[in-house]
Amino acid sequence: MPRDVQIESERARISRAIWGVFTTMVIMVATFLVWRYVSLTIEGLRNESYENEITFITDEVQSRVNFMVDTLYNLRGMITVGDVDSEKWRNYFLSTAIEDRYPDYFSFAYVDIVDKNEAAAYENRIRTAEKNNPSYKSFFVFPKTDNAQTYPIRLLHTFDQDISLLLGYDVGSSPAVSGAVVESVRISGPVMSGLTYLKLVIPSSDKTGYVVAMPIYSDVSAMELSIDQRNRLLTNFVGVWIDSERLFGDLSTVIEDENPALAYDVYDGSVLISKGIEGNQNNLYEREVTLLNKNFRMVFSGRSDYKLTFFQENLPMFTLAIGLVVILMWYGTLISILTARKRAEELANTATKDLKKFKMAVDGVSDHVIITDSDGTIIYANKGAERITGYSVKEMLGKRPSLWGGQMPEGFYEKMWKTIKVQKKPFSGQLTNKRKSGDVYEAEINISPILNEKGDLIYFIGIERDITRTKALDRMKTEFISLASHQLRTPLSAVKWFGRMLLAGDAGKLTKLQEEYIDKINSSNEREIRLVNSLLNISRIESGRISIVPKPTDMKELVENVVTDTGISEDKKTSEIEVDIEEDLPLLNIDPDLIRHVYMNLVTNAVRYSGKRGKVNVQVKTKGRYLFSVIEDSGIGIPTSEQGRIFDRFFRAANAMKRETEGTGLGLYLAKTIVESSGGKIWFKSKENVGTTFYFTLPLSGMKAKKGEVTLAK
Amino acid sequence: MKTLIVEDDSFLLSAYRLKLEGLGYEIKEALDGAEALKILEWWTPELVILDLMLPKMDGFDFLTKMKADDRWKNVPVLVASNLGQREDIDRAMALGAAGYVVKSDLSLEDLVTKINALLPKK
Repeated sequence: MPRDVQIESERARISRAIWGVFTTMVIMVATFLVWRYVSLTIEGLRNESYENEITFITDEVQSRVNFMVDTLYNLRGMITVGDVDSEKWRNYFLSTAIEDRYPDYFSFAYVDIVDKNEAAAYENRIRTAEKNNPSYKSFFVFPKTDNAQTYPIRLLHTFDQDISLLLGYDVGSSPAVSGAVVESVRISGPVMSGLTYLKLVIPSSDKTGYVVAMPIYSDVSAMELSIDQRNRLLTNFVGVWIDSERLFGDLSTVIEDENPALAYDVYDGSVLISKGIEGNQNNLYEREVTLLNKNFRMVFSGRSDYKLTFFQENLPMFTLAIGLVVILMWYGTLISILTARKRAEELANTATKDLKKFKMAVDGVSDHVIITDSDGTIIYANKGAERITGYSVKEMLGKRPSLWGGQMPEGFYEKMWKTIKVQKKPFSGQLTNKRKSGDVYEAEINISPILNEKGDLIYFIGIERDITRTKALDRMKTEFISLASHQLRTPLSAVKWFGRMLLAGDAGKLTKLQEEYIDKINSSNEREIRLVNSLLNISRIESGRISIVPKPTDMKELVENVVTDTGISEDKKTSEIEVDIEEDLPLLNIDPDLIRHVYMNLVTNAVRYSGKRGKVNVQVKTKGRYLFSVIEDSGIGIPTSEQGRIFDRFFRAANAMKRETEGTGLGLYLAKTIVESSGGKIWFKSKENVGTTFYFTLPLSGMKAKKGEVTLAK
Repeated sequence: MKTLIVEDDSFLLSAYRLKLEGLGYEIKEALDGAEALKILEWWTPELVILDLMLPKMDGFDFLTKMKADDRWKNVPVLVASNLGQREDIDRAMALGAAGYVVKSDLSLEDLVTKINALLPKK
């Protein structure tokens, strides 16, 4: 690869690598952003569910208190219209579902207002009135104070063991409660006390809570009166003990979701009254909750075991995983793209190498190769063209092949251009060109038009071979054959002529013996002449330069002539030649000289090897697409062991040599060569001492013309 | 009959001489075309027997030159050569030869028969 191409591809590789890294980073950043967004969204979902739960919890606390307050109002309404005893009291609570909804949360009390000096009478009155209720057997007011009025609890509704001990308790003895009582009278509505410790009254109890007090008047219209007038109508209180632990605790259990999101602590001022948060927590949310007249502070914290749905919880992970998969897939794609490019590059390199190889091959071939554009302007020429024309490649480029051409008649070039440019077909031919030096040379050219996909001409490729030497060689061969035939035949002619003159008595009459000797000389000479003729024919055929000149030929006439000639020259050696030629044979387009040679050889052999009483049968007929010839004799036959070789050059069967000394061993070889080069076949059947039959075929379509330089000798 | 024999082989020449003089022909001999042309300058034959393969000027050249000259172009030429290819025959006939024989294919008697067939009857 050239250096600049290498650098180019190195640069391309680096820029592609940077591009790959960049795109991967973009995907990574995108993945991170999506992940972040999803995380935040999930965080938002979590916060939303926190907010929902906070709202739910505070609403629930509020609704508990509201329920309690509603109950207080209901009780006041019931009590205002008439007096109550423990039975009526109990029945009321049975009619509400309060215990089902809020068990142990609230304890309700009915409180009387008793003057100090009437306390003992009051205790007795209650014991008497409630004599059917065992709880009241030892009813008394406690603790005994010096206050002018006491506020004993006359009726209690509670499931709390500790609270149940408070029947008869003077709520006025507790400063915390009395504050609420005073305030409730002032607003004539429910008022919640400060945090109250039950152990101040019942030392065994650790419970804390709040007391809500609500005044009851003897007249329902008391609410519309002034505070002084109203106070004169004040008869009783109803109150509630709220277990602070119960009120705030365990709210999460009422959430139907079994997966509470939050834990919380509740503060009354700085006092922690309900604890739910374990350990240190982040994500703390504070809420002020106002219950009646009192503010509470709730601190919420997300529970560590709180789970969103599996999908939501794992969505960020999924996002990361998908991102990772995308990155991996992109990486894979990237690698396949890069390797594909690399492969393409390798292919391109290989192709370039191949192209170079082709160029080197074309550059280096010995033939002259040029490429021209469609107008014949030379755009490429190889070294062969340089060597043959004598012009340098530089001199040839941009010129036209007429640089070294133009030696032929104008018609030749016109025909050539018509073939390659108009018909767009290859052109082959031989022509004469002129080298730069001025020498004329003979060339064989082959011009191929190169078309694009649309069939438009784009190039011509011209291949030219300098055949000057080949031509010269051919001429030498022809000359050699001419010379040989002349030189070999001339002395034979002299022998023949003198021999014949002797026999004719030109030099005086010969004795019988002399005549016999001269006859032998003549026969031997004749054989020599035939041998020379055959040798010349073979050398012509084998040199491949024999011409085939087909012309319409009457086969019947040709065969009959052969038979007649054979009969004469063989001097009645055979008693009978039977000829059977199909009537109305079409004229066959063959070279009569060549085919005559075949019949001549086969018929001569048949006659020669048949003996005096032999029979020769010649048949010619059509058979399929062939002319079928049969030459049958009843002669000496060919020994089986020698049948494989009878078409060999110079081969003669042993029995033939014994009988007939004149054969050259070339006749069958020539016949076979001619038949086969005519597109036919030749074969035979033979049995020693019975006879031989030769068969051969010739295509009815005739022989193809072949322009050679020679023909067979006569 | 005045016959010019153009033949470079002395054996064949002597055979021609023996046979044709025996038959009463008047013979002049030339060893090649150039010599034959010189003879033609002073002696016009009635027949030319012409070999083709000849030293200096061959038979084709001689035939061309002879047939180009009005003085002799009507003298019949029998080509007697040992070149037997059709090309040679066609070429000689095209140049104006009256007949063509391959010497090794026939005897001198046959050749005389051919000459008699060739010449116009007297």
